[in-house]
Amino acid sequence: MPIFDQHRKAPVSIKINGVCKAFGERIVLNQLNLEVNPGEIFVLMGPSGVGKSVFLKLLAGLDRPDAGHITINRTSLDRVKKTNKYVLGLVFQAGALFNSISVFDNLALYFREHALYDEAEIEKRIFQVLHMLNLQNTAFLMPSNLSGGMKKRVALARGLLMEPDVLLFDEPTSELDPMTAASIIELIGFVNKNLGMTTVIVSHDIILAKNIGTHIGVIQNGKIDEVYTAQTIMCAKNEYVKNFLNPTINLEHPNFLSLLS
Amino acid sequence: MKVLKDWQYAFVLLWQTFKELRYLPRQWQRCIEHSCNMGYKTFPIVGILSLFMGGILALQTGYSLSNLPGAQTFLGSIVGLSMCRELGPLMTAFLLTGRVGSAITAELASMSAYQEIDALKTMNLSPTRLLVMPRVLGGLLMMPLLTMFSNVLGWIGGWFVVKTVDVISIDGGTYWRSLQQFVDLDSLNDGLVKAEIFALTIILMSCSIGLRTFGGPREIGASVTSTLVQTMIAILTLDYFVTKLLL
Ligand SMILES: Nc1ncnc2c1ncn2[C@@H]1O[C@H](COP(=O)(O)OP(=O)(O)OP(=O)(O)O)[C@@H](O)[C@H]1O
Ligand SMILES: [Mg+2]
Repeated sequence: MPIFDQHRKAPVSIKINGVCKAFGERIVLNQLNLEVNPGEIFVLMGPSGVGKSVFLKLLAGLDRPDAGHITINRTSLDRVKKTNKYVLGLVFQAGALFNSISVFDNLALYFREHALYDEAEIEKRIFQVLHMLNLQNTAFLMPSNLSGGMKKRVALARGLLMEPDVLLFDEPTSELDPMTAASIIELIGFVNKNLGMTTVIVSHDIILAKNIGTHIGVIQNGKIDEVYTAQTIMCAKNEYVKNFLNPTINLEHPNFLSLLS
Repeated sequence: MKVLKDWQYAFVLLWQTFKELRYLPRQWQRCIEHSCNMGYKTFPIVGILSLFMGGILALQTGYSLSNLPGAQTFLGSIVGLSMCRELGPLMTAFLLTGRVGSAITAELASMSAYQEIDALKTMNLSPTRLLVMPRVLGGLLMMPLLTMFSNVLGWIGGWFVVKTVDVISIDGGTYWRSLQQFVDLDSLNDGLVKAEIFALTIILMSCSIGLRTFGGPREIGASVTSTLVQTMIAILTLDYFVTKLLL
């Protein structure tokens, strides 16, 4: 029994045009431009604190850019949110599960509040996705009793169950052991291939980027200068990108030596 | 400045809650849950404090009136009216702030700090509909019951003092008769109107402050304090003006 509708909606494209965002004096995003093609997986990489999560929040419509436009299939994001034309699913870095209700209720909330299916159907769908993520034993636990990695997978389940047109991930593989991380990567790839929703992933994980990323961008100085593919990123000429992918480890770094003098 | 923002947002929430009322059928169960939860938390403490409040009131006034011959026959009306017009609603409001308002702020603030509110928004679910409206209605449902309970226990507290303390020369029957004579439906009504206004203020204020908390545990604590202080000030200020209007 497939849970996801086979006659799926046509994948959407995302266009980001000159988006800026600053917090007080701190400019985080500066004239960022990006195009994501329908149905592809775009992986956005970059070191900690460059504004990847901020970017994703803007894309999910949780925050507004100071300047610039975001459009989905040529409809502005504001309109999309207002008219509910396209569904945007966001899987948060720390899960952001509702702590006062059980895992099952967390997953059922979207269906119940929008009155999409009856209880039997909701249960069927939830347990199918939980099985897929190897979480079937956690359905009636409270989120506070889950490990960090389990919370992430539940959050992923919540995102998938929404059957979104655009699926956004904030660091889906951080805090996971390599095996679980690999299975999450496989799952994201599988879902994208079979359901074809446009996917944007923010991650530091080069394994993820190389395996499932259709296009890969590296954020630098608040913008994305060049977009790579899994093949081209490994021979990128940009020093910043090279350093990010192959950090040199120097135990004799001058900054540390100064601690001793 | 921040205070103004809190008030402004509380009014926005009021308006939004109003608009969300059309989704009430699906939220009805949540309203009842919140209402029961508030009642469960507040009934015992309201009872105990009201009993003492009525007793103290009877003792103080009874003692002051003891050298005015015949004045003590009005003790029932004094306790009765003070409780139902002023002390009942006011004390219930303060206890609701302490037990319920602070809890609401803490809960919503931590939901906001841990991105649960953002998660709701990405699911196209309105936080006002799911979190604020049920609490507001729950509070409005429970407050009149709590206030009536407070009034009655205050009267009983007064009666108990009248019966047991020697300085007060009247008997229980006189107390109740005087109370019945002066406490009319209008007084009870005015008290309940006040109580509902307080309840609305408490819940909206605590939701407003809670939902706009960003950061971590420290900010959550600060928000709870801010709810307590601001709501108490708001209640007393409103009390003055509402009393003036109703008199
Ligand atoms: N609400 C906010 N107020 C002020 N500054 C903020 C806010 N949100 C983010 N920032 C700042 O924006 C910058 C980017 O933060 P962001 O969370 O996007 O980093 P990130 O790239 O996701 O890092 P990580 O990989 O560690 O998650 C940080 O310097 C942060 O201090
Ligand atoms: Mg981040």
